[in-house]
Amino acid sequence: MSLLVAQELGRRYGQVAGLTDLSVTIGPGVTGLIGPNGAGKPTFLKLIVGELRPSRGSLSVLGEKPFANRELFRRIGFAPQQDAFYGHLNAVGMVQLLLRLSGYSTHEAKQRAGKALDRVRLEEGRERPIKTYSKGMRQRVKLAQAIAHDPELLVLDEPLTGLDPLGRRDVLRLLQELADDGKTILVSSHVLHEVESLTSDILLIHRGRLLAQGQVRDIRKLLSQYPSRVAITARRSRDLGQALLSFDEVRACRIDPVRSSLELETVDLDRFLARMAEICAAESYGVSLMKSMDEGLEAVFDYLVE
Amino acid sequence: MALKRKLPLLLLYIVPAIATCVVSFLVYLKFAAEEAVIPEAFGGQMGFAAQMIARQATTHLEARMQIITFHANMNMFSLLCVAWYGSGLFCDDRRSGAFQLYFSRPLSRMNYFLGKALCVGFFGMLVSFGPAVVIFIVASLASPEWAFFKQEWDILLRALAFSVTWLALVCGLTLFASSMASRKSFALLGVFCFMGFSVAVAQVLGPFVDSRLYATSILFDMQAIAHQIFEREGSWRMVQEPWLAWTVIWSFTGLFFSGAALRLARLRIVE
Repeated sequence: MSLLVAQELGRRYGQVAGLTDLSVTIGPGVTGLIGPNGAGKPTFLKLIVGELRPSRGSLSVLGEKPFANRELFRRIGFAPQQDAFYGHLNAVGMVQLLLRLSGYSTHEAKQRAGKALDRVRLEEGRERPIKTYSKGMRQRVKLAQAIAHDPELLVLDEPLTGLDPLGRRDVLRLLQELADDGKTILVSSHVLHEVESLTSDILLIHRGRLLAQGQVRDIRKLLSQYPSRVAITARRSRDLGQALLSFDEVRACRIDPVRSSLELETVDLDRFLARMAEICAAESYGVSLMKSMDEGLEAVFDYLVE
Repeated sequence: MALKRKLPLLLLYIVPAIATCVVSFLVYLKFAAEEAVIPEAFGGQMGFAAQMIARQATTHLEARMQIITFHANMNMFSLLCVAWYGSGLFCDDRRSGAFQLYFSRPLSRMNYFLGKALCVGFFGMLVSFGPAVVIFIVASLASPEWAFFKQEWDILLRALAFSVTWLALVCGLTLFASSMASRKSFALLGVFCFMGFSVAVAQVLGPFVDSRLYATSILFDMQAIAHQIFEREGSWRMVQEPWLAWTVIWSFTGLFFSGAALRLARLRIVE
């Protein structure tokens, strides 16, 4: 089921193109939106939440056109990257104000604000003015206002920025809970390992266009021109290296006898792993660790942006 | 911290509040003394009924003049209040990014604009029209059998017309300045610079080029409008043609509101 469909979507700011030609489909669950600075991430998010009108192409969010669609706004929760708060208000007051603008009564807005702040675990300092909050507390307030009206789609721009490790863990857990509840979540971030810890389903845009979409591992496989790099730690690293160099699919091997490790490049990772298992079963090389060095999001990102 | 935030509120509203109390008391005293004092000019040689009518007419006229004079003098305070509370409305939202949260709610830009305009208009009305209402109520209650209310009810409508005209202009100017400036202080400066500049231009052009150019000053225009609305015969004014004053005031008001609305419509969400 596609909840968000963009076709040849573009947005210009005068002579500057914020988004050039983006065609993408997003389904339920958590999707990570990544891209370098100037890729057009904020523009795409603002188009989704209906704050900008597309210059070209079409966009459908939850089956409706989002621009200035007030009914749709009730079904979307948005947390912008900027702080976007009135410093003199406290957390409850701020979330309550935004809920009142969504049409809730004072009583219900207060109740929902309290629940949302509980959910993001902002227990202390709720009655203090927001200007006295730490960056992490402000992030939680932003998240609280985004989830307070129980939206179907959550659009979060850099939601983990400024959070300490505990706060990050809490927010990741919360987002996972929301995804489990059936919410669709689109998370934009330039901190790749954060996105990776949240989802393996990514959307990579660069210079206003879609560069790749799907599971990180699947995208990596498509990049066949880049050999896969594997790091192995083995007691008999030199012998293992010699044995592996006889494989057709192994292109290069660098041995570090001091650390008992070796790094190699292979053009066919699946075949290499199968043969590696065979030789390890046949002879004991003392392999204690084997890991892919470039199946992570960061490596895929680097390759794609190159 | 709370006191610091409330200090401007106290300073801007306490003077009009005290002045309203004093004037209300004076109006009350006039009515209370009505029976004790018989003005010679009216009552000396008249019958009892005629004396009563004459006394009442004098008191009503005096109370009416109190309301008009006081109302006209509250202009500067309402300008201060509107400028203080309104100058940050757009630029502070833009600086903090709060409009991003506003526009992700079921709220159109027109709702947002009208909300801000009505909010700042309300603050202005408290100082501009509020005192006139209070004094009118006091005069009505103090007069025998609501005579002041029955005979002078039009003064309230006139005061309302004047307040709306003045506040529409001031709110438009303040919101326009706020939509143009990057900081509240700059917007505040812009409002007072415009006011001062318009008077300076009128003072230079009026006497030397054409006396109708006095109408370039907003304050002189409001003087002429007050003269017409309150029918203040014989009062001094710089702009002699009321239609010219009305034209200038509503042109500026339209221009300011259009400018602010246009700035808001073209506001880029992605900076």
